Amino acid sequence: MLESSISDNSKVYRAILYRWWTNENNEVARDAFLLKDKDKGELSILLKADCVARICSGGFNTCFGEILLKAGKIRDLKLEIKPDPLPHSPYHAVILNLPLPEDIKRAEEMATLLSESVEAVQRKPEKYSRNQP
Amino acid sequence: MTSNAGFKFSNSLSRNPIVTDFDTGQSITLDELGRRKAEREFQRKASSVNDSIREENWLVIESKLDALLDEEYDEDFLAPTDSVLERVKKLLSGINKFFGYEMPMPSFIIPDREGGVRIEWKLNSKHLRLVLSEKQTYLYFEQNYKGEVTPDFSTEQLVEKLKQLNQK
Repeated sequence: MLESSISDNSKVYRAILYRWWTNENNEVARDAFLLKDKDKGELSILLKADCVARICSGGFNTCFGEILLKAGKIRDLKLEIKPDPLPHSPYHAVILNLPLPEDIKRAEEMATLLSESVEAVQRKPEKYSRNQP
Repeated sequence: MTSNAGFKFSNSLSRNPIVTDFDTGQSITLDELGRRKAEREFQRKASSVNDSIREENWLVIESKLDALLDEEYDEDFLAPTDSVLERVKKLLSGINKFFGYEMPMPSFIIPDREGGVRIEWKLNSKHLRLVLSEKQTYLYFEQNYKGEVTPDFSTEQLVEKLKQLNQK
């Protein structure tokens, strides 16, 4: 999928890789939008999330649901969305231009802005995984 | 004439006699004594409620910290170390005692994925985030989308930021 084909109105999904990224009030921890050194400057998202029967369409080892955002709102923050299909995850994409972890102030400010752009939180009733249990 | 209610009449003929307040040793009017006793009773009850809320707050915080050890960790996702958890517990316990029932409760107490603990508060449109790990320690305070980082913060600096968070 070409980047140009991701319209501003397109939904994108940040997989809830850790159960504590959301709380009982359906709030999202800002940590969900912070890069770590191992992320190499790219924040993983999915262009489609059609997980079924406890199998994660993102191909993650574990996943607890998705955080839904709109592509246009991400671009409004001067961030870029680039499709990055992986063998086990054809709808994988990345958000680029996020502040790096060492730039704490900008990284935290951006985490606030991204978390405030969240359209919805879809928590799975149970843990999903790459392989069928 | 001495009563058994913690005070002593010195002029029993007056409608509002002068009495001795045994708690302070002062001579005051009976009306004033009544007002003071009511205020002390209120403060005693308020203090008892404060203690109870403080204890409940601490149980919530402590259980969230203990729950961090129940997660599945691996080489990409490091568990908070014992020393970090101990430091965080000590810090938050002290803060909780300081604030009592006014303790702002965190929205998130979570691992920072790199061996530390991350705590996030959001109150009155302000954000406070605390990261304590072997790698880095900082406070991040944000108001009106403007952030400010305090690396290697002191307990006093954390108290100050929590007070700012509480202000409406």
